[in-house]
Amino acid sequence: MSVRVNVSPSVQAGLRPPSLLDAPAHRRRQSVTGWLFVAPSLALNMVIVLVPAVATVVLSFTSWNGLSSPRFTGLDNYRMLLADPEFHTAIVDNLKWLCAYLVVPITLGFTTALFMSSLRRGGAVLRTLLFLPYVLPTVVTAQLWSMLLSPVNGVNTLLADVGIHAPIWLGNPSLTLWSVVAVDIWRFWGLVLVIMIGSMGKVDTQLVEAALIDGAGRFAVVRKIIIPQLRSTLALIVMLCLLWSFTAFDYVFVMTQGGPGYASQILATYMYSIAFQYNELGYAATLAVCLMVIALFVTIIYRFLRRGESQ
Amino acid sequence: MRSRLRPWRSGPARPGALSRLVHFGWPVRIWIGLLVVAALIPILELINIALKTSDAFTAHPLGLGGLTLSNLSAAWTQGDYLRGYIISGVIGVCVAIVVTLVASSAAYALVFIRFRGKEVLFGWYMMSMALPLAMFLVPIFYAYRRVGLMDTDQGLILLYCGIFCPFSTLLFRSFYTSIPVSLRESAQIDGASEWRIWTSIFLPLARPMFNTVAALVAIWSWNEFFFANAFIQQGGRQPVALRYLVFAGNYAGDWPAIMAAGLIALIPIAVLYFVAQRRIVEGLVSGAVK
Repeated sequence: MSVRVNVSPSVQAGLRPPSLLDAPAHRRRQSVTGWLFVAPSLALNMVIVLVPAVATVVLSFTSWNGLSSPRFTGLDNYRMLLADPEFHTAIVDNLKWLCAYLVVPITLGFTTALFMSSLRRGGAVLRTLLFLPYVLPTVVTAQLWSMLLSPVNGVNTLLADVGIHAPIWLGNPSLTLWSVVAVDIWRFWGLVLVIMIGSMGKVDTQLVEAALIDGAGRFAVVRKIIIPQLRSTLALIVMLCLLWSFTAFDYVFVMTQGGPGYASQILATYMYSIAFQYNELGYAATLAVCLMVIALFVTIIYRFLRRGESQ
Repeated sequence: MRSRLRPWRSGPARPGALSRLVHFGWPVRIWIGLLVVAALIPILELINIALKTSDAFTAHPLGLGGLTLSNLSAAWTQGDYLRGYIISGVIGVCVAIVVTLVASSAAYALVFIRFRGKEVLFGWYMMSMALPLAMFLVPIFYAYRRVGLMDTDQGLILLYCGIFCPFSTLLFRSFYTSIPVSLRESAQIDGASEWRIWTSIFLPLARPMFNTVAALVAIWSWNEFFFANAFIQQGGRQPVALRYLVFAGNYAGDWPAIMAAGLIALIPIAVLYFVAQRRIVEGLVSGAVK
């Protein structure tokens, strides 16, 4: 890793032998060309991501209602955040969301992908159908599920017909968060599934068959041969689940608005209500910074773990 | 050449590859059948209720019967969805064109051209994919108000391009890394400039990835409502998803009307998905699975 020779990354990575094109004059010109090629993308990223991110961090130290000019208040927002009981509920709700996200889609996706890669025909059709909920507009599916889970029109009427007295899914404070998580998982697990299927296609089947011939049990094969080969995919999916569980917004916003009370309030919807209902933009920025820190923390850990793996 | 270079084909490579491991018997069939039912029944219910008369809905909300098209036509005119389609269509097409061009050129440089700061740049792109972009609402909101991008398609197009660019760059990057470097080097030795190599070799080669990314970002921008909700305040300029959100608020409780509007809002996406599903799913997977 400590090779300090001036050769291009593709040579270092063993992708190609060094050539005459690695001469210094050529390299300088290449550097300019490289930046020209990324310039449009960089400009876009600056305007939409980098500058707003910096502005959010600056705003998080101010008190601002959006009309008058922002007033610098130092760490007041952060102190307020730590003492804010609603923030604590939101964090706990996000952690519940995270647990559900880590357990359900990954188990479902993994087992189903395993089953489907034993399928000789029809796998592509099944995959298309199971992935469908992910591409549909969340506003529409959120309304659809609000109706299906409502006590008067939804599945409860069918359950009542067969004599089951079902709870009010979205109106019961202890159930509402889980109901919304379940709907979000309904939408999202198809993505986990297709990624899993894609990486199962890369599993070394000869190894699997050899192990089976040698008399290894099915569970042992899954645990000792398949899972280790899927490690990088699993790591990626865990990271995506971590990140997306903290940015979840759509279904809570449409289906419950964080209610009843604050029963299903999560960080993103809480931030939204602070910014647009209470007009406390400085405080909303503080919450945004908090989410940014979580996201950066997750990615840094992920990259760190992956780095250890590749060496 | 084109038919042999197909690194993007990374779906279920060999059907039945693990058939020795998992016996595809009845328990497994029932399990998968249940999952398909769970995925599709709600969507079929949406269609069913969208096509139902109010009386039939009150009598048996989820059952069949009372077929009508009046919900659809009423929602179409009341929500002014023709205008929504045009606005969302224009946004989707513009975002798809800009993102594919910008992301593919950036990915080309990130893979093939050696330049100072490349690693930092790539790291930042990965980072900005992880950032909860919705959280930058406030600064962008005020910047847009200052420069007059509120209530405009251009404002949303610019925003969506910025948001979808990092992930699209990643997809193009994983595509380009699967193309042999020798192809580029032989062109280089023949004296072609980077621009020439990109436009005449790599753009045509990457056409399948262009389709994937274009379809994906078009779908995402059609479905997006968080930013649209904040930046479009004038009724007439609303894209479809936002129009639907407002419609559902106005007609709260009138489920057949809401479902009909929902059907209108998702039909173009469903059509695009079924036409391009192979490209979409496999492109997405090839970006994620390396």
